[in-house]
Amino acid sequence: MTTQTTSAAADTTAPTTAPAVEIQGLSKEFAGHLAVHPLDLEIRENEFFSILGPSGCGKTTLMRMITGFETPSSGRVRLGGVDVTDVPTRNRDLNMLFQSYALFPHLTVFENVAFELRVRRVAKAEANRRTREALELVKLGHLGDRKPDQLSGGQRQRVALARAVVSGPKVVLLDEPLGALDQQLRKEMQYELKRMQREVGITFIYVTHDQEEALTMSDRIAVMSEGVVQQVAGPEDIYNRPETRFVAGFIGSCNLLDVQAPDGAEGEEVAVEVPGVGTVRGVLGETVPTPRAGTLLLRPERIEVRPAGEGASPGVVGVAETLTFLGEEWHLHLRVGEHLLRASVSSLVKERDLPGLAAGDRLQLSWRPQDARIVVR
Amino acid sequence: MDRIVNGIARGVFVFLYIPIVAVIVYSFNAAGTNTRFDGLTLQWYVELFQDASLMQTLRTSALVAVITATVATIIGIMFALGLARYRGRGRGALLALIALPLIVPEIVLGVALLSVFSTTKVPLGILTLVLGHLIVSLPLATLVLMSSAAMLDPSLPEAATDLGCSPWQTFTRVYFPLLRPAVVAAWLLSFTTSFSNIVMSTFLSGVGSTTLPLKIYSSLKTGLTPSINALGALLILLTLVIVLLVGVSQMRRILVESRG
Repeated sequence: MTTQTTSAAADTTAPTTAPAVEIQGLSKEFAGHLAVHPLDLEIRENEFFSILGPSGCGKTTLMRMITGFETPSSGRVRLGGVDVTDVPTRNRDLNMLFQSYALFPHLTVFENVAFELRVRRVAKAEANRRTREALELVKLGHLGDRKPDQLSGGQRQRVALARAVVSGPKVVLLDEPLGALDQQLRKEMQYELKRMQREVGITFIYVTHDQEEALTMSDRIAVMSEGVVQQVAGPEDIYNRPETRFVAGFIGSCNLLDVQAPDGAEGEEVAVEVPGVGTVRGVLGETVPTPRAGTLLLRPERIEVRPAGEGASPGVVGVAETLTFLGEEWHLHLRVGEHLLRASVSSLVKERDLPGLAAGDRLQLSWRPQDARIVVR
Repeated sequence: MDRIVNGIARGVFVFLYIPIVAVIVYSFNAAGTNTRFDGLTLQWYVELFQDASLMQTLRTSALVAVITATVATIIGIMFALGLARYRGRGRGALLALIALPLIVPEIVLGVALLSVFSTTKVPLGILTLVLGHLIVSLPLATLVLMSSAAMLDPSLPEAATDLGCSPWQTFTRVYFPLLRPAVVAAWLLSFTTSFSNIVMSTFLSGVGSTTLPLKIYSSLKTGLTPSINALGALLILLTLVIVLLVGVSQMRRILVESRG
């Protein structure tokens, strides 16, 4: 931080190689219930990092422990290599963008943005210059004299962002900031947030339950469920190589089939018996030491659909139950034994390869083994 | 129908303001009685300011009311901010305890306090008056401030902390400016509650600390002097000045909020 706080241990300059945020064994217990199980997490410098999960998964509690609003039951939080677990929020080199924006209603837009600089006694000329810069960044330089209640939701959100970045903190945490905006504005703001994050070069920790937001904006995503971090990876890996049944089911749409996973090493191609479907091929998503119950994960768009009886390749045969046209693609529900599989076919492929497809038609389904991942968690 | 409602509304206004107008008019009445009007004079105002004992009670009342209002407002702010954030056990009970003095008959409280003070040998005077008036005005101040504090976004104090505020800075930079209308309302409400209190004062005033309402009440026995009218007129004028200073629109907001 370039502001002149005197008391903060958190302001001690640390080597730049340290991760922006480092979490070790952090947990939170509320009245005997573990809201956040002990977890380790490393968030890199200048990263757009999302914490994604359904409501009640512990993501908000995790974020509040990073900011210092919640005291962890165990574990440490480091900010740029400095242990801040016992440092009060106001001395931590981070800012938060609240879901409600929490703009001060009695102050103008300019005063709101300048708030931190004034509290931290930055010289007036310098504070004004930086406030103007922050307002320019969010393209609201012309609305400095307005009060928050004279702004639209999108504008308020920008003011809140300007206020969070004006002091140049190491980390900005965003708590579902797009939740209150309408669909159109949300899309716009997703790109805007990403642009601003790059421009200011500050680590963003973005907390959301919206998988699309997380996928579009993030460098990396931590998927959380029931207080446990399920997987930390880039958007493509999260989507294409989910490590747990929960991640596969939560991100996008996925066919989840119960199987008995054979033992083998990660990435090994194996044959598994899917009850009511037959033997199919897939790859192990992780090393399995001994056979155990697992899940076969298969994305709808990874299933190739052809009219039955065509070609020699044996595969799974299914009956089309419903066909739904969505413009760019078709969604099919296919009955295979006791299972109902979802498949999606691009409109081009449907027109070219499956003209005249109707409910009740028999279809041959196939997929590359590497697109069918078997996980045991 | 509209005409009837209109008529009733006018009637209510006349009824509400006739006494006020009457007090002002009679304060200039040259006749020494309220039963006839003999022309204009400022005699009663002169007599009022020469009535040392009456002026003394006015000073006592003003002093007690200012102290009571200030203390009640400060404690009320603390209660309101504490309870606005506290959602745990005992919140309901605490709220009931705060509001209780509004329900218990004042005369019971007055007797009880008097016996407490006489057992503990606290001499009756300004201090006991303030304590007694606090009991009746504190619930009002607290309720006014609480309804206002409850409307604040609970994220605001966290945002202030996040932006570097100490708890005191959070109060001076965020809470106080946002609660200012309610603070003014709570102070004025406590002030008038104390200033016009008779029941508590009856039990708790000592020799030399008679309050204005007590003095006026006791003068009923010897007959009202027109000086009381002059005093009434001056108090009405003072109220008017306060309303104008605070601003009419602000005043309306305060009153609406205090009912919140």
